[in-house]
Amino acid sequence: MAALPAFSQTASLTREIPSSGEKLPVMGLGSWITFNVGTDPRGRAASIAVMRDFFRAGGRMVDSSPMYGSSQGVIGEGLKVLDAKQQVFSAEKVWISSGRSGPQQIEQTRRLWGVEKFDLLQVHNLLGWEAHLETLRAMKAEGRVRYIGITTSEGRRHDEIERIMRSQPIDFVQISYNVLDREIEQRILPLARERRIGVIVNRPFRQGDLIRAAERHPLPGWAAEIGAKNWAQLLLKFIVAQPDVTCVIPATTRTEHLAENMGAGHGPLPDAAFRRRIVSHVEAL
Amino acid sequence: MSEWSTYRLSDFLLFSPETYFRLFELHNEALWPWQVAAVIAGLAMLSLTGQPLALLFAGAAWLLVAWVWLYERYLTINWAAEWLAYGFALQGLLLWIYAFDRDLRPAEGRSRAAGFMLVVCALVLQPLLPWMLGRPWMQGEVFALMPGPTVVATLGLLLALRAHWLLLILPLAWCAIDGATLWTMKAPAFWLLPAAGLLTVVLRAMPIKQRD
Repeated sequence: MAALPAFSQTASLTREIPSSGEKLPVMGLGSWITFNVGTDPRGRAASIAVMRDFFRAGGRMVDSSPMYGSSQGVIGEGLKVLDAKQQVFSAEKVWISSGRSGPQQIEQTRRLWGVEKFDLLQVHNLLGWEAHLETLRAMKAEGRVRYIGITTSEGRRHDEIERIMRSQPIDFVQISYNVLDREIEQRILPLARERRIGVIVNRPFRQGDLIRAAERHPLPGWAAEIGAKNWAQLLLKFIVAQPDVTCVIPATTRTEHLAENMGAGHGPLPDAAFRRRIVSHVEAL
Repeated sequence: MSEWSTYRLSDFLLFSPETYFRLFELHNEALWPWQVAAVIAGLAMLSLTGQPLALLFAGAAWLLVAWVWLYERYLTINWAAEWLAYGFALQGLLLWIYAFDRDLRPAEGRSRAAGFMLVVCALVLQPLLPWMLGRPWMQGEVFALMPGPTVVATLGLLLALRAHWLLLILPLAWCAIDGATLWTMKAPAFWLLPAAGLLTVVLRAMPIKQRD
């Protein structure tokens, strides 16, 4: 068994879910593209190894969607093999145009995960959100899901996201945010604070493009001041330093990248001045 | 505004290049040694280039790809593969129907030569492409078992027959889909199928020279 990385000796950073006060580790795990490996035994084993190290490092939130191909089945297999159904904070989505087909899709998803119920169900990319939110609200009232929310990515439909945040009783909003895409700082994050809505951050590395570009340059020496040992940790610490961010969900196929990501959930975080320094540095690369 | 319009091309790329190309490797492993039979069938088809009977081979290849690749294999990583399988099956049936079209005549000159060249390219070049690009040779695409060479060979046959435009719709659509998928994955050979499609369209659109 591989030794746990040094950061695992310290407690991981957690944030409270605003609507309940329940604490969650800030580092979650996404599955977009990375876990869609079909029936390939090698790919499934690699994905499950990533899940194993994630749970060992204290991670809880795993996020997926019916849009992500075989990812849901891979996660289900991982949870079973790793006996992690108690530890996982299951975050799923409904992604279908028809509101009437939503419950059937959610049930199919639940079977793939092999869990009794989901912790969080979100309307993926606002597709058919009115009907699906009604379904999710009813499920929450019946105790069949603990939290509900909406998602978007890459800056799309923020006006509509805002309207829903203002008018609907949701627990989470999932949205893209990273050192270069900071639009949500203006209105979404303050609104989330005001409405006590948790924020899940997707695309922290712009689907890998951002970190690949950054890694062509040396990590600045001052990154050590916040305990960032690599670019992944510097970029992720920039995100989780936002007090309104509940959880960030980077996705990876490799355990060494997972270890880097999880390290960002430990140690000091940058203050506002330090964050501006990170922005200036990355924008100048 | 339609919700679908908010998606970009890259949003529909559901898998990594590693997963995609690994799928070809798994497919070849699972089907071995049927590749040998596929190559023999391809060579038989090549010898019939310019004759409507060749479309029987192409039709069978499209039906086979619909089943063994799209429905049995690609569907495991792409939920849209079921619809693609229906499209391939439809094209297979169309090719079978047109194989008995008495109005089909062999083209002459550049159309026939280019058609023959496309079939050779599909049978010989495309299986070797991964090896030429530094990927495992086991990821090679084989006519009648995978879509790329099946589509290119079909374009060649249709060009050599100057077949009806109707028969070109789905092969050309696949050229666009394949090109977009590989381009989004930043794969170096993304241009191959779109180039074959473009060549076919240009030559098919050119008027035939009248013999004196």
